[in-house]
Amino acid sequence: MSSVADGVTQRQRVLQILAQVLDIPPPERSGFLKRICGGDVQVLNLVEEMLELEDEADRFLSRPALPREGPEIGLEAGRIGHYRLVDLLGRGGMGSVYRAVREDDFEIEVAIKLVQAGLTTDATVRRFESERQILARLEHPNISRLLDGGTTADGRPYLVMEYVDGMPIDAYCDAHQLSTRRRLELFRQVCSAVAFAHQSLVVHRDLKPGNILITADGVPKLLDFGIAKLLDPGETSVTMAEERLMTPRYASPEQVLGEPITAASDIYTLGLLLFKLLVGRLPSRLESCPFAEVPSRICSDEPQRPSTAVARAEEIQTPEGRVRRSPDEIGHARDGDLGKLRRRLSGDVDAIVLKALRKEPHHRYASVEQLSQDIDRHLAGLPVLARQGTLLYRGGKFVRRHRWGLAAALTAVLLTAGFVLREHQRLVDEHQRAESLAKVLWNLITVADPDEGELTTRRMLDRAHDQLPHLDGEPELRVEILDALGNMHRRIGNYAEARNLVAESLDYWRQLQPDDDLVLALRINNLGALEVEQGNYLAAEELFREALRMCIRLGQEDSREGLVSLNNLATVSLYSGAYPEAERFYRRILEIRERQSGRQSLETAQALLGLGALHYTIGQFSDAEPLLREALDIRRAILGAEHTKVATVLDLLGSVRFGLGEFLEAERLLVRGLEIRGRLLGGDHTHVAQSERNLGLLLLAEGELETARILLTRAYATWQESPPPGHWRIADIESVLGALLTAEGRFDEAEPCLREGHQRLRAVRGEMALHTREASRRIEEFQNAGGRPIAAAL
Amino acid sequence: MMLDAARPEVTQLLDAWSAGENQALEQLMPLVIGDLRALARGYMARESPGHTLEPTALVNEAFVRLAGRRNVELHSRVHFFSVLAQTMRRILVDHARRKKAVRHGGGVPPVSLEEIFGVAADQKTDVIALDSALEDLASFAPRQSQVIELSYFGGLTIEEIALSLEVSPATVKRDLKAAKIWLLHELRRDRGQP
Repeated sequence: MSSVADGVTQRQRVLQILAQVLDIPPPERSGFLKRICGGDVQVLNLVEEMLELEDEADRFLSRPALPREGPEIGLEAGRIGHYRLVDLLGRGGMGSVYRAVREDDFEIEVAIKLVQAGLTTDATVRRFESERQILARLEHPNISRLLDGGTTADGRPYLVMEYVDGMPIDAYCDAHQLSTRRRLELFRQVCSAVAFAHQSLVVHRDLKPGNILITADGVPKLLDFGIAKLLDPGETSVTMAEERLMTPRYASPEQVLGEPITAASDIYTLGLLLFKLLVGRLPSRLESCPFAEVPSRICSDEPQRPSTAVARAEEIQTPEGRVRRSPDEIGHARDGDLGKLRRRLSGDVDAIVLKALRKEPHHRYASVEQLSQDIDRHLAGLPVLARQGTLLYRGGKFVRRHRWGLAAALTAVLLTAGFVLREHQRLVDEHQRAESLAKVLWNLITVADPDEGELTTRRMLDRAHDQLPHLDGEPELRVEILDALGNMHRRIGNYAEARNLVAESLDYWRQLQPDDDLVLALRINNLGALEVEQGNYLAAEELFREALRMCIRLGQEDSREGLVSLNNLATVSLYSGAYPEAERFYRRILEIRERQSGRQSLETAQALLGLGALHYTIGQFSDAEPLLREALDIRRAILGAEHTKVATVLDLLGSVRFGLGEFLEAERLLVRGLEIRGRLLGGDHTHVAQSERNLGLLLLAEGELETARILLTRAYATWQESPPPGHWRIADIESVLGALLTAEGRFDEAEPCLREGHQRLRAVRGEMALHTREASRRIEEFQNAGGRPIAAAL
Repeated sequence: MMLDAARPEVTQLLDAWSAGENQALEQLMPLVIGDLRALARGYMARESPGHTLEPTALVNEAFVRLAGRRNVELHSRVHFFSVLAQTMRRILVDHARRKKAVRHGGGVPPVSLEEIFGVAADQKTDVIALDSALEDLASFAPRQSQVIELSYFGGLTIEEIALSLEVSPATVKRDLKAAKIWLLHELRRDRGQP
């Protein structure tokens, strides 16, 4: 016999013995091997060596390179256990789901989940059975019950569940055009089912719209509770990797990181689900991102506020393919229109969703019940837990120092939340009024043009302007309409257009009324103010001076129009850096005001405030301090301590103290200002944002970076969502955020904030304006701190 | 979709095709393409990271190869799958070789990558090594080798393999277990680990 043949026969023998010994219970194997191998130590050793690989071999090639789809031949005539399969409902990564009926009672419909791969070891079979027992005890009206289970002839486990005929929750909400309130109510029912399961120590692990069906009666039913864990063999990570592949869209950060999945993971997924139900899509656009980046995106992408997210048009995936749905359509399908929907979501709902979506499990709601209760509180108009979160839970020393003041401020914000407050509402109303007035104008002076597409405010205003020549016979009406159009453009943020229209109106007015006149002076001021908005300080100054001269010529310097002119001159001088001029004008105003109304008057306080602000702006803090202190005392005496006008002074005085290096006193004043503004104006007001910005700046200087970040991001968001769009305040806060990022050493992120903030401030406010100079100082600090040079600063 | 375990038309078409009716293949394609695509997609999702065959390309390639072996008699759907298993095995091994060759500085890189299939699996099976170990196994234990081929490359269940090889399911189970241990042992030995 050749050696090759020897080898072959020996290998055949080893394989044969191996196959035999595998059928024998482990304790008896050793004896059997010794007997069968006789004296052949080599074969004995080899077989023993191989037996050690037994457990590992169970996992080796355990899944086909190409998993099969299509009807399985292994199922005898479409039967599993006592059930006859009727229909294939779907296939997933782990197996197939069938609709089936009981053989002895065709009336009883069930869903059967048949697992693809067989359970290979006794241990996994036992675990499957015990988990199945736990799930079988989970009885709740909103949970599809696990009825039965077992294994098929070829060792594949199957589960028999209550069959639910329903629609996925997201599709249901859209199909029935449910309002936000109805969606929240439905979501609460889902929460109650999840909370119930958590009390029985069962975590769902795979919540997604497809697992939450709404029956024809409108009752939510949760499917597959705990099934993901039941079917996870545990020791292999393959299933989990596949799971990640199958449904990454609803995965929590800990899930994609392979960390333990707990009840908090379900809370996160519920947050995603709520976001989807309210906004119409998920917070991250994972479909368009490379698959390899999905885990890191899930762990790092900060979700937008639902009220912001809902305003962006999105490509969405529907069964019919990708369709584009505009925010207006989404708004229309819920609460009437987009504006209403956004107001409905902003504040409480934003906070609730974002709290559920915190990346760190311990920052989320402590339980599903808590989440559900917060929604309940919101629906009942009570303050929600989520909005107390940010500052109180996360702040450092700062918060401890101001715990009670802040708590009061926050409670006030909470109490007033839910409806947008006066000042903001006024702006919104004016915007809407401008639009409706434009619509009226449009109807009055144009012929309907059927080819005209969507009527934008902009287009209406343009068309209205085109129709003006028809009004040649009525010059005064023409002036009024030009002015109205100009104001509308201003409201929607088209400053250039507004300026041109008001200039045109002024020209007409001058033709009609060439003589000095207080009304003319006011119109000139109006145009000047628009030049200021455009950053044309020189042109503005000239106009204001002209108006002032006119008032003086009329002997009316101390009239309302005269004071407006003086104040505008002071402001534009301040903006353009002509400080001595500015001071002269402010002092003149103070003089007139004091003479007219006495020292202890609101008018004088206003003038003191202007002068104080000027000194502050120039950096003469010790000059500013007594002026502002006096303004504060006057206002407090007349208006009481709780007044927005008091808060305005507090804010400025706080900033002055900050400039003087008196940090603690500054903090006290700024917090007090924020408190009053928050209480009286509501959390989303730009004045509140202003306080937050100033306090954030102070905390940044004190090194309380985390709290500074919270305040500054809030302020930033508020400005971004307030009309007019693209306000220079946004650029200012961007620059401040750049300083924060610099302090955090995050130079790469700081650089664009600083650069873009500075560029826009320079473009809008001018090189010499206070905020522009501060922004450029921040760039210097960035460079000193070790960041790269920034071109825009040079 | 109603369940019908056999899908007789597939079997008939396979018969017709192996009897030389060319048009049968064209009719067969749409019927089995879903299966193949699903097989390919599933494969992609679990094979080693960076695998670079597009599912569609894989399916087409499988058919070219099937069509090239038209003289094979396909007895049934099960038989079809066993032919498919062999075909898949060759495609995957070829692909792995080509990829390796590119890594060592030669040839055109294999077909384009579908991003989504790039990541997924932790389980890495060295297809080339597995292939040669299987070939080796076939030299003295052809049935065991075939069982692995049908199960791993063909995705057949134990009962289907039993049908296909005309042995009892118990035998298939035993073969499968022993062969897996054997292969694992071989692959370990090749890498110098006992």
